Amino acid sequence: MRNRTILFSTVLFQMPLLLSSGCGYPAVSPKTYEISKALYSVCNQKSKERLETVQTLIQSSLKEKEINEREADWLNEIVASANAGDWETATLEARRLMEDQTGR
Amino acid sequence: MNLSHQQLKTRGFTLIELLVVIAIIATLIALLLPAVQQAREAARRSQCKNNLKQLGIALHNYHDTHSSFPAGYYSYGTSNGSGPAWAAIDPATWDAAPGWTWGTMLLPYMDQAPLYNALNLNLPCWDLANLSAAQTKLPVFLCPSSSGGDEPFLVQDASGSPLLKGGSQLRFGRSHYVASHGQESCWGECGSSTTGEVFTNIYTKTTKTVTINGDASKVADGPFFRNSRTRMRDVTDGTSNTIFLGEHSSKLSDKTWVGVVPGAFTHPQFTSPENGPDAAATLALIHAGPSGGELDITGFPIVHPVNFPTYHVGQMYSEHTGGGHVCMGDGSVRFVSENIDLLLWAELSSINEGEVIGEF
Repeated sequence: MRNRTILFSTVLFQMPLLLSSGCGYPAVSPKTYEISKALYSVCNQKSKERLETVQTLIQSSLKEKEINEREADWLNEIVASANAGDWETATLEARRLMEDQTGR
Repeated sequence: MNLSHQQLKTRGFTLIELLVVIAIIATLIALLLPAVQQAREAARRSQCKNNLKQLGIALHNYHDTHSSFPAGYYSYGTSNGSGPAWAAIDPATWDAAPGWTWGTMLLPYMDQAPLYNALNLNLPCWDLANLSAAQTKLPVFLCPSSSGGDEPFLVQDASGSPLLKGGSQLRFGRSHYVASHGQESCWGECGSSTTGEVFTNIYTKTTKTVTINGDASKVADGPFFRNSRTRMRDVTDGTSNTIFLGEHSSKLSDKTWVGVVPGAFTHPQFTSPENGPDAAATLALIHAGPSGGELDITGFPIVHPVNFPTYHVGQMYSEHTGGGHVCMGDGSVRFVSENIDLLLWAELSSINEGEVIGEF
């Protein structure tokens, strides 16, 4: 009984750790990749003006089904970080999205 | 007998005690290991920086002797794509014999005069007479952090098969360092064409079309390109503001100190949505972008600094965490962040575009 409790608490403790570590982004559509590349340069340049262009592009791409909702959510999260002034996080996340598409 | 048995019993560890000790030791190792790895990477980084410094000094010694920096690579000069048979002109790129690169030219200035003398520079770099010396492994061209290998590699053709010259495979000594062609690239896309788009202004995004006729100098705005003869006075942006050399780990693609072989291709070692094989010049050169009017979907020029996640074989790539080393024109070596301002990276790559360079 005592062993079971220990096992259970260990699993319970490790689950959030596993979840928080994340598994990266899966393969995305070519359009999402293109947008993430643009997002990287937008965040690198801290360009509010071009950020709006990218935002519009995400919406139109979703409407035309060039990207799916999950991809739009990822991109919008990056846009939200940038809009909140956290350019560094947004840059790193856009980079991570691109990096995760490589076969390294 | 009973007493001694009891004594033995009290001397031993219980299983719990043993596990606790193992756990403590494991925790200590886990704490210590990252520190050890960091120290080792710091040493490797230092070695890499020193290699680039040696190359930078050699470049300056070469300039002192020849009144110009060496060419990116040497190729038979043709303005119409034709020439003698010995030149072996590649009809696609107009790359030709002898193909020797900037790296070979620096050998006498890096205590490698015997190797330099062993090479017959009057013959093509792929000539049978040069193949043995061309495989020499030179530590000064090897970054210890590069995980893709440091042994000589087989030169490949467009399909990825070994390129054959005179029926022989070519195995060239490796280099983890590349020379900067500038913002533009003039190899596969426009090497042989009579016209090519030239991105002259990264701010206004305007392009102009020029007639090339095989003369890469009309497109390249960096210090090294096919048959370049860049002099110190040509670097009007300032030698301390211009990137001359940088890293390219063999984890991404094979580079060499030996030569550019007509018909050869550089192939990426791992895939990305945008990378693929590129023309022979990328065996020794890289560029910063944008090239030929390349813009992203928002109309911004595509610039790819060190470790840019498109992972193109024609860009700089380092396995040091967070960025890579570059050797500036003045011989100084700097560590540049992979998140450097994109326009600044483009500015640092050209020799005479007149940009005002900020801090980096």
